[in-house]
Amino acid sequence: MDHRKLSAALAGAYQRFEDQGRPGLGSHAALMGLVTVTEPARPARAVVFLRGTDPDALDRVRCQGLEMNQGSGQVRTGIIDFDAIETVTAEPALGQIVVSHRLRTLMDVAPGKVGVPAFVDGADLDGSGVVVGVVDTGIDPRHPAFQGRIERIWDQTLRGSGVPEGRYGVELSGNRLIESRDVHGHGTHVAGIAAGADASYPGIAPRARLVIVKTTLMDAHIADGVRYCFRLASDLGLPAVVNLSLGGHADPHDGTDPLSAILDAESGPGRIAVCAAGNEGNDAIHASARVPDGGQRSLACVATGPFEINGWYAGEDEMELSVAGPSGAATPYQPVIVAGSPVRRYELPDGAVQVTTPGPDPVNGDHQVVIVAEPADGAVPAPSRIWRIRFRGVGVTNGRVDAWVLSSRRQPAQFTGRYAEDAVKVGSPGCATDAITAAAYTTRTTWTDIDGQRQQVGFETDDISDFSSEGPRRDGHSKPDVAAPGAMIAASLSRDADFDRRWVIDTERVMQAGTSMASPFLAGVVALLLQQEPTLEPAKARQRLVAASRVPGGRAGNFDRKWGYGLLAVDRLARSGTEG
Amino acid sequence: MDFQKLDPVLAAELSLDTADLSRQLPVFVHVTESLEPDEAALVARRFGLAEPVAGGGVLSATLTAQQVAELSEEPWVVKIRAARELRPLD
Repeated sequence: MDHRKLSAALAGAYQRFEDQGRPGLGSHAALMGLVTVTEPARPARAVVFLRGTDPDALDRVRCQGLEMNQGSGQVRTGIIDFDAIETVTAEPALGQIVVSHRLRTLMDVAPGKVGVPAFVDGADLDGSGVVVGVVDTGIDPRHPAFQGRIERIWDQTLRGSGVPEGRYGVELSGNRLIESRDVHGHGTHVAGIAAGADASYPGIAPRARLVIVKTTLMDAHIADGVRYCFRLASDLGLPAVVNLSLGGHADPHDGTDPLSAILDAESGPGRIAVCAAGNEGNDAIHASARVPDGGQRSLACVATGPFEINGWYAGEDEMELSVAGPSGAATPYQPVIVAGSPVRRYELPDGAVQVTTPGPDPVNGDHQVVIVAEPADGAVPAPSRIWRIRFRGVGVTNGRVDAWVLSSRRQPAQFTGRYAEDAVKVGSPGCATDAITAAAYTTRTTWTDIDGQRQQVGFETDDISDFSSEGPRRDGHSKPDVAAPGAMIAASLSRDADFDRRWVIDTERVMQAGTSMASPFLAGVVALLLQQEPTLEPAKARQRLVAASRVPGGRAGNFDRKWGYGLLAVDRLARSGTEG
Repeated sequence: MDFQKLDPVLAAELSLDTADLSRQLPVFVHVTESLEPDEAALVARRFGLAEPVAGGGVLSATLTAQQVAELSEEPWVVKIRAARELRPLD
């Protein structure tokens, strides 16, 4: 037999099998992907990876005692009988046989890295008696991690008479829960992190009750969903934490947008919202400049497709606005328009431009300007697709302008040049004052996918995730609040979602990254705090979380625009609770 | 119609000569605190609002463009903002 084809671990196990028979494999079974070791009626078998140099030859392999799974490429997965190992090693298409190892999952790793077990075990916390609300893309109601704990699903995307908070969609419970599906998979994963009951991949609050809103993703409907979650929890007589792993940048980034205002209004004792900070840490979506009185500043924006600029400046200032296309042609300077429609449309050689310059916003008193540009196809060669947004001060005391660019993921637009700024990128609802806002921290970067392929992402382990959006808010308020594990996180997989197999761990779990994952981690922790103290107020919860967090090398209470108040050490919460 | 109470998206939508006034628009409505409960009930019925509008704050609603235009002229309406689509942050 060609022992060189066996990995060291498999060779060792096979030697013990030859020497001692089936009992010799007992000690290996706990660490390796060995199966049916203890079932005398079936042969001893192991889950293996099979390597070969010729994919076509691997496709043709047929060996007694080897079940090879469907796949492609030079590495396949399969199950091998120990009795057949000698025969299988003689197969010329197979270069190496490696036994599969039982891996620790991320949700094994992440809670330990931030001290969850010490806090949970010491206080006997599991989320019992708390509602976790998830307003997202839905949930897989058949997933074993949620069985018997989903109180209701409000599926806003189905046609129906809705609920008191909104007369649209369908409310489901009991046997009808399965009428709602999560074809995106995001909501199922998020719910799994916060409250999944899974021995291998435990959620943070695995005995919490779940109220799910499958939303249309329109922020007005998300607001309805938040109200619904809190009302249902109130009907049940339970405290609630509602998670929002969703975001956008069409707001003033100061917490006065309507969704943030509703979050603040709905929050209170035993009613806490947790939000994701955003994933634009690597994207130049924000620019900021000081416009002098009588002077001009030009924000440069690179765009290959349609884009929108959402700009804000102080209410006491007055500015005029012009947009120059890549060709240099520009719209006239447009003043603040307080009579009639503040919208003007222009045709440039580079495309159509719509500029809106109303008077001060009635809610926050600041000026908003909005530019919608639709570049003409082929009007400008690719290397010079720079648009310039020119602000001219005509009565300025403050002078600061902040702008965000909104675009499609397929044709992203970004700021460039001296005024692009890696700050103020936490949008609504993460900028809500009373919400607790999560930055993402990376605890794992490698994993093995369902096909046995080793996968890796280019993040720095044990550091803030570079994609995590920076604060503070436009008004200087500290956001994000704290950092929690957000990459790479394994949690519940919706069977109706179509993930790339590289992200899929097995038939019930998938690996994902984002502040979307950090937020439910934090929501789960808040659920544990609510279990301890059902009338906990949002400000007190935030205070306890901040006190238990540190930016590496810093002291508690030091704010960093990327980390917030730092990485949450959950085990410190026990002490912060007693310190009051 | 009071354009100063409309956010830029709604202002653009309603300033088009070709605007379809029967189009349904999900919106947020910022309401002043001055509205009395009786008056609020009438308003809610008139605009088909599910939520109470007395006491101020923000409510969500789905209105026609025509209703948005009419609502903007009400003295108790501070601002009307079009709903925007958010993204899952994965």
